[in-house]
Amino acid sequence: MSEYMPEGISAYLKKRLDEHTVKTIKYKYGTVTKTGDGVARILGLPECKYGELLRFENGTYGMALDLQEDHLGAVILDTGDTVREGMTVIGTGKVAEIPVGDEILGRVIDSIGRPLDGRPLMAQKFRACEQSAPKIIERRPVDTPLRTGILAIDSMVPIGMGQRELIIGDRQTGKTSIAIDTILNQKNSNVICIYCAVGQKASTVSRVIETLKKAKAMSYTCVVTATASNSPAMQYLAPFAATSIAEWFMYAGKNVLIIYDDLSKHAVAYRTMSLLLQRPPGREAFPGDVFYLHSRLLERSACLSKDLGGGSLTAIPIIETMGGNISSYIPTNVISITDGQIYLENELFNSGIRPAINTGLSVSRVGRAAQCDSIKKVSGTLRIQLSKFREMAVFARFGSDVDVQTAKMLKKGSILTELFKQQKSNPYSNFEETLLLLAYNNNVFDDVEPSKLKPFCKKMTQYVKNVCAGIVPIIETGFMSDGDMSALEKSIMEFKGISDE
Amino acid sequence: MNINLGETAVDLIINILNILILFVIVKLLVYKPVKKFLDDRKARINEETSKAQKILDEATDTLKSKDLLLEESRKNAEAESEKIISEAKANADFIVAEAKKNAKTAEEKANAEIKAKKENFVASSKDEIAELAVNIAERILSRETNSKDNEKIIEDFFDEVNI
Amino acid sequence: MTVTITVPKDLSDDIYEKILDGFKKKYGDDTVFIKEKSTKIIGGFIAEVDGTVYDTSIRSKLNEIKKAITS
Repeated sequence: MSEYMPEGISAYLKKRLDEHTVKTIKYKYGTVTKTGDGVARILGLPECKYGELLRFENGTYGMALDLQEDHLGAVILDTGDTVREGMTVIGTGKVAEIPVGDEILGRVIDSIGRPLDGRPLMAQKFRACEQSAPKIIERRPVDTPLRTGILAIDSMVPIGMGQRELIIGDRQTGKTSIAIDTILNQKNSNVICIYCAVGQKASTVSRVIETLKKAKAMSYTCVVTATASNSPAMQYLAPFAATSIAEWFMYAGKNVLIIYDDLSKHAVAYRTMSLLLQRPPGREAFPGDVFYLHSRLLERSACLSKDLGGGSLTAIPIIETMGGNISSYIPTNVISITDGQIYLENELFNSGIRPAINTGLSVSRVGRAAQCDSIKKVSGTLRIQLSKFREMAVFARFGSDVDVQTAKMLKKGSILTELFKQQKSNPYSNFEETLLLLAYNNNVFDDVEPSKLKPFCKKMTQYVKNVCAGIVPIIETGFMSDGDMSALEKSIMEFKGISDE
Repeated sequence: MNINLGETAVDLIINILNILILFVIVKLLVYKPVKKFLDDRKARINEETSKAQKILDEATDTLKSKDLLLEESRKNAEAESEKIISEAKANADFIVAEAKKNAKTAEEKANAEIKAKKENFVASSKDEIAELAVNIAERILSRETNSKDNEKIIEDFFDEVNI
Repeated sequence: MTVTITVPKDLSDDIYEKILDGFKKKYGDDTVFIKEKSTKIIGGFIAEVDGTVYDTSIRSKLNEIKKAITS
């Protein structure tokens, strides 16, 4: 289309005209009897379906969510008091749909598919936002790793393709950063990424998009956004729309990553909408089906069987807690739905440990099945070491005398903690992660000062990359034979010897 | 001549005694002090000589170490200057690369903008042309529709809706 | 049953009768008809009955065409 000259445009229009058949126009209509707070009460439209898209006289769209005996309630999808009492409403006969396809990649769209990045969107295919999840027989177990490039996650809380892994923590603990770093790390791995921003500030979303653009990640990413100024209905729809887009790619056999940022605001938007529709409030004023809201959303992430193309959809929902309370209503709901969580703590963040992952409370229920061979070989006992270190760390704080073994364990634990610190937007490749953990296991860092650890690691990585240049591509694919491992160990020891001099 | 053997012997003995006494006196009074004096002198000379030797050695060492220091500082200065030169070169390369990158980014951005503008133009042209065509059709039809057309429409409608 | 029919201004009466007959067949002879005139429909008519709208006007057909070819 973009190559069309004026002659081309009229030829295109003529073609479309030929394809169109003139039919009698018949439609049902209703009348708005009451409108306010983003909800319109409509009389008429007796055959309206639940969730059907309605079009008001002035072109605004709404969604029928409250079907009563004599009237129906529709949430208005656009902001602004544009819908007036007395307007006619037409049922479109369709439920909420979102455009899907390859042309969506690199675009920023809202919950009903309108482009927000200044260019028109020519979509050929549409897909309903509400879909049922793949059935049990259509799935296969998770077996491929999704590399985040963050050492702490890939080694101890690994994420697999098709898994749902929750990122949970207080505000400003780095949740979105981990999610964005994961997207940035998918550059060379053929994974399509969808970032769904729900209820975020427009400035935050704009910053995220800039980060993605700078890192040239937009070519494989799509952003679906319903900012805090959009109506609750748009915020409610956004994750479902984003999931439909992702599902289209999944059923086409691709691997997809979707990030919901964040589901707490999604639940709040749903609560707002439900209260305005006068549905009975439950615990914390959330409607009774807020669990179902998230469970049906997250169940659509799956690892499909080979018969259906073998695609996968990995979901990384984000939940914001207050005061570190992961036992409140929505966090417990989503924790019980997902296959694990990454728990970020404020104290860790403030003490300089970033990413601020609490390895004790973080878990991945898929675990080792989602780790590639090389990382599996070197990350066996890390969690245990860290938990022992945490136990003993209290003693170290008071400067009490400890025996030699405990002192060694404390030293190793503090080295490991230092090793896991990683800068934002700086993902490690598979080779770098394997190398660092291999060096750690061989006690190479034992006499390096914590403040000099990072430069040391950088030099070591550079050195080993030069020396073992042939092994690097093999390890990048995830495999590490015993011979390769010993070759790496040898060059690590060589480097240590050189640097000691 | 009667030599008195007895007196000669006594003279001999007295002479010998004289010599012995003289010998002892000389030894005590002259030989020993002189020897001592000579020994002292020898020792003093030795001491002076060794002192001088030590000073000579020290001087040689100092000279050597000074040479080494000079050599070292010369090497350092060389290394420093090399480092500065390579750093400056790296900086220059970096600046050139940055400038190239910036130019490329600006070019890419311009291209993307052009593409977006083009797409926008095409889309709005499409809409405008369609609008225009429909308006023209409307004008024509509003003049040309007659009762026969209306009848036909109504018949078709009722057939279709199956009333 | 009330049927509101919007017709072009210069529609002849016998054609209007035809429309009424057609609707009477479906809804019975006792249907109430409300006639509205409009200059905008060009041809055909628009009938509103029982929450359903039957739109045979040329104007609406043209609008549909416009929407279809620009989508």
